[in-house]
Amino acid sequence: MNGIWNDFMTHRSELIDGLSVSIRLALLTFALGLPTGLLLAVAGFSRSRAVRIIAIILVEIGRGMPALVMLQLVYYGIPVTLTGFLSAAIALALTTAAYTSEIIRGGLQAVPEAEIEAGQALGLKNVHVMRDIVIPQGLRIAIPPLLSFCIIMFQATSLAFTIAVPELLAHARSIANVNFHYFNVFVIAGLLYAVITVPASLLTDRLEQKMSRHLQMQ
Amino acid sequence: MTEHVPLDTKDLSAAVASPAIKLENVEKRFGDHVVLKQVSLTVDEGQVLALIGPSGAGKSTLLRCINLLERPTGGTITVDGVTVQADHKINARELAALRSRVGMVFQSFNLFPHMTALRNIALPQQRVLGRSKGEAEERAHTLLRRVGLADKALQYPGRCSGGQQQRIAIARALALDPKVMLFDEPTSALDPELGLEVLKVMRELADEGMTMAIVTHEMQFARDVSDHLVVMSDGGITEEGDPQEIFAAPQQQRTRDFLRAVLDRR
Amino acid sequence: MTGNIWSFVAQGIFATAQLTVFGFALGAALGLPLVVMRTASIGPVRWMARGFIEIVRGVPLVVWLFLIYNGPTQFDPRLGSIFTSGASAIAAIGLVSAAHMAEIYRGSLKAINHSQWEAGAALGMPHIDTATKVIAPQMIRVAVPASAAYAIGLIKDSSLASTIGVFEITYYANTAAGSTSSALPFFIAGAYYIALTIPSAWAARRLDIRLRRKVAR
Repeated sequence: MNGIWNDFMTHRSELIDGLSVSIRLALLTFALGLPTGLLLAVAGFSRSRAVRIIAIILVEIGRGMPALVMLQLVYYGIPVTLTGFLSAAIALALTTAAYTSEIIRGGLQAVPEAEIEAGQALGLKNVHVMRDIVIPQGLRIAIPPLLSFCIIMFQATSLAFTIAVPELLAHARSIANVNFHYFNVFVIAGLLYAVITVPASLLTDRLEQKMSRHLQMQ
Repeated sequence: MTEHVPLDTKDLSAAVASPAIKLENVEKRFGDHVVLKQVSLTVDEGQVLALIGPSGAGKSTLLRCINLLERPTGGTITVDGVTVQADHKINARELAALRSRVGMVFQSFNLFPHMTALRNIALPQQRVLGRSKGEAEERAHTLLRRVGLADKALQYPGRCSGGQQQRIAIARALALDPKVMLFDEPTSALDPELGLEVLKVMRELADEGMTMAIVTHEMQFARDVSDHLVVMSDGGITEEGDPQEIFAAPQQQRTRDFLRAVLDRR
Repeated sequence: MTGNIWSFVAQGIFATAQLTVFGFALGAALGLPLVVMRTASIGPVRWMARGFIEIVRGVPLVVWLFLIYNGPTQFDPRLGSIFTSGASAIAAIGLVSAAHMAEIYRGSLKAINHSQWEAGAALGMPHIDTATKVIAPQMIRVAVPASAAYAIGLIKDSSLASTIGVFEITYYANTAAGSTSSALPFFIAGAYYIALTIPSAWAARRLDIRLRRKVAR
């Protein structure tokens, strides 16, 4: 216990730096991945069969590939030399887009068919049914699972150490490789991740409960 | 955009040349299962039609064919002068235009839960009829007053009782100035007292001369308010005619059985 | 040359399968006592279980991997022979799976109709019998879809074991990429992972359909 605290105090600035890189990587991932996911979700409803099939294939590949493999693929695969950070963001964004498109699609499909029928019976055009009825409610339904997924992707940034991104785990490993306090250092790293993920999870749970209560009022 | 002029229908129905709704040999099949067997039906302008019968008779399906929520597999549907053949491809714009002239009220209300009552009623007017927001909202307020819910304008459906929600749904359908109103078991999901509020609004609509087609299990309402009663079973019309006469002396055995079963349960 | 890479990377498939199967089995088993604690009537037991689950799920799997693989050697370097790559990987996957499975079980319990408990009590059945003979079988059936989806996800998570030297698919892909310095081995690895997930997803769906009928919702 003493050792853990000492190690933390000694290396805290390096570790916090790493954590901030992890957070920034996560944020860039969301900024790139979520809009792409929305695009893919909408493409799934396209009238063009070719567009729908392409969207499905991209989603299945994005979801079927482990994030670790995606990271290596983007880092070594892209001919242009990008920094590790940017490669990691692109790779994780691709994974994010694939998963979130499914989450959003699920949300859109959860909107009761009866409301779509009512909209059609009123003579609303499909565009308006989508824009005014399906999308506002569908996105709202999708928010809790999207937030949960974001928390998972934040954890996935820990894999970026494999492509030389100086995030939290990378720093933890380099510290431990020098002082051999593997246990201490990885416990600290774990706790630093938990300090962000656990409160975020609890907040997301509470949000989910509030939303399901709201939906049940109908 | 024409104002809907209420007619004193019971006198004029005989004189009207073309009916508001005309179904000719309408058939609806799902694979091998035939739900509607060559049904023909006419509803004159200003007339109130009640459709009764056992479950599975095809009443709702028939009603939903009128605004093409169900596409018939055979026959012809004519609504407000527009004719649609079963195999005829109708484009989205024509379909939307037809539906805006036919109002529909559903058993489960189907209000948009993320919008206030006001917006539920105003938005379709803006999108379908191109009315301005101000115009649409004014009309919405008028209609809410008419169904007795003037103070509920800014309420969300989730906070309204079933009867209130259904009345908002009626107002929403009326806001588009439909020529015909369809009601698919409007009170089946409501407690008796809440159902009464809705039936009252429907009765007033009928008195004002709206052309209505109602699928219902409310036998008393069907007998007292409708001009023409249609009894269906097994995808076809068993009996039709004056509601008072049919209730007093049903001609067909099937009608007798059905009425006995329904009225005995009271 | 490409043909060689395909078979080279394929060498890791068996290890990937082992990691997934053993890790999941461990997690599915440990998840049971964990969910019992999580739903216990005694407050402190419940809170400890909840805290445990939240932390295990809140820390990335790769950190658990390093903690279990390297951690013990801080105290005694000889422990490295017990905490081998394979054992550490399975332990880490098992640990994280246990936390996730406990939550899946908890969700399943909530989905079972409450009146099943009441029916058991009304019949005079002892609580433990109702729990094991009536509730648990239904819970397991309800949990199948989510558990299957999770297990399929583990196929991909097992790729992390490559970072502590387990000779699975990603490890071989890394090795091949090192010597050829191209990204092709990773495409191939990705193809193998996708190929492994698709039939599993299909089988899981069939299983779910068969089991769905016997549950009181």
